[in-house]
Amino acid sequence: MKPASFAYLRPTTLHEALEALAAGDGREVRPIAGGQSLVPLMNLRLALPDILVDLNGVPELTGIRDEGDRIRIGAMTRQCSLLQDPLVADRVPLLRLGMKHVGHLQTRARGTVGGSLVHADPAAELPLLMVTLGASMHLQSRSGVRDVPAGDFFLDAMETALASDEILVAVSVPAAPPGSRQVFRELARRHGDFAIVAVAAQYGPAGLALGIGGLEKVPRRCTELERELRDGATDWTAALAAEFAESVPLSDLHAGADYRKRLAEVLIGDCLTEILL
Amino acid sequence: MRVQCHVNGDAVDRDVEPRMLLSDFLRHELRLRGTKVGCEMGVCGACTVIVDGEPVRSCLLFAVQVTGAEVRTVESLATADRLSELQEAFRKHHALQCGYCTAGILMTLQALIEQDALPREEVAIREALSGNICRCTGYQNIVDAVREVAS
Repeated sequence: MKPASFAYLRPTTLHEALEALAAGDGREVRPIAGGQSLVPLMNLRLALPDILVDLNGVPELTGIRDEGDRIRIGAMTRQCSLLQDPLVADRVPLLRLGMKHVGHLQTRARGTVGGSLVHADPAAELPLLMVTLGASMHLQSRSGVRDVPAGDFFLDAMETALASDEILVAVSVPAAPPGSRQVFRELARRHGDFAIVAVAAQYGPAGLALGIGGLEKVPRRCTELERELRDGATDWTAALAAEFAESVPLSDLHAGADYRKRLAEVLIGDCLTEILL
Repeated sequence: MRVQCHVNGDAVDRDVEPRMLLSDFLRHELRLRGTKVGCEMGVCGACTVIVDGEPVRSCLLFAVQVTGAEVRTVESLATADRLSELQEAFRKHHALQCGYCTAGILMTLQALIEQDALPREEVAIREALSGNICRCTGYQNIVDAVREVAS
């Protein structure tokens, strides 16, 4: 289908973009990043913005920077950069591992890191990766800036803490400690599809960080599991049961709740086997 | 709204609605009908073109977004009297039947050729083409054509 009509703005600075977002006058104003999630919604008329603010002309929003103990990734950085950039491979290798499962050549060429994060699909890999790594989201509006930890950013399926006049400008990811190990496991109908369930894990001197995505409405750390393993548990079956006792897994045409839960247990078991032993 | 860009090397300057998709701009404004529209929601790859050196889904871009860019479509591959090496390999290996997905696949591969990144092993070729759906060929002849070009 064809999208409904809209007015199109192409700011050249972040300031201009933020002004445009705040100046709706009751009309719906939306930013467009890579468009790989938004334009399908517009073509299907599930999204009907009155004004589109194109962020592709704002240079401040791109780039990957080394900040010592963190890597700062501009929100408009193309997804393919995470696969190609040596800084990412070297300092945040888990991002690169997970990125291999995201979409296809064409969607990674245009799709952005920030776009996937604010779209917040429950089965998307980038939100899971940021939550697992304890990344920090940098949000900005006309009134100022604020930082939100990834764990607090994803509120519900397709819903984040981003206000309607805010833009995600960058995400900072803690660098992997030297000698740490990373693993990423996903099951999808086809390679590149959204995950049915995905698991991301990093194990280093500070212990284990393990995140689960696709299972529930938002990705999260498996804090119960992490704690029990840190306290010395060797049988993780019991720890898994405790972790998912209260879980309400998603159920859709790809997989029922029981299957997703079982899949989560299997994939986590695989990850732990690989990363701890 | 004005869109000024280059398409297949030619300067283009038109006035279109912001909501006009790049795929429709190419096909209806510029009458370059080689680019096909399959799903119009970014999953089939039939609409793939090259924008500033990258293979992208033209059904997920608005024409107004490519102002200042270099756009290349399947029409840029052959000359007046010769198919490109890639197209010739497709012909030789019978890598198309209905041809609807073919333009999108050719442009995906062309972008990789120009980035010096054309895969030569079967698994890597299939992975590179994972964003292009073909209902006719079963992909094997396409893989064979790519293997020949990559060698």
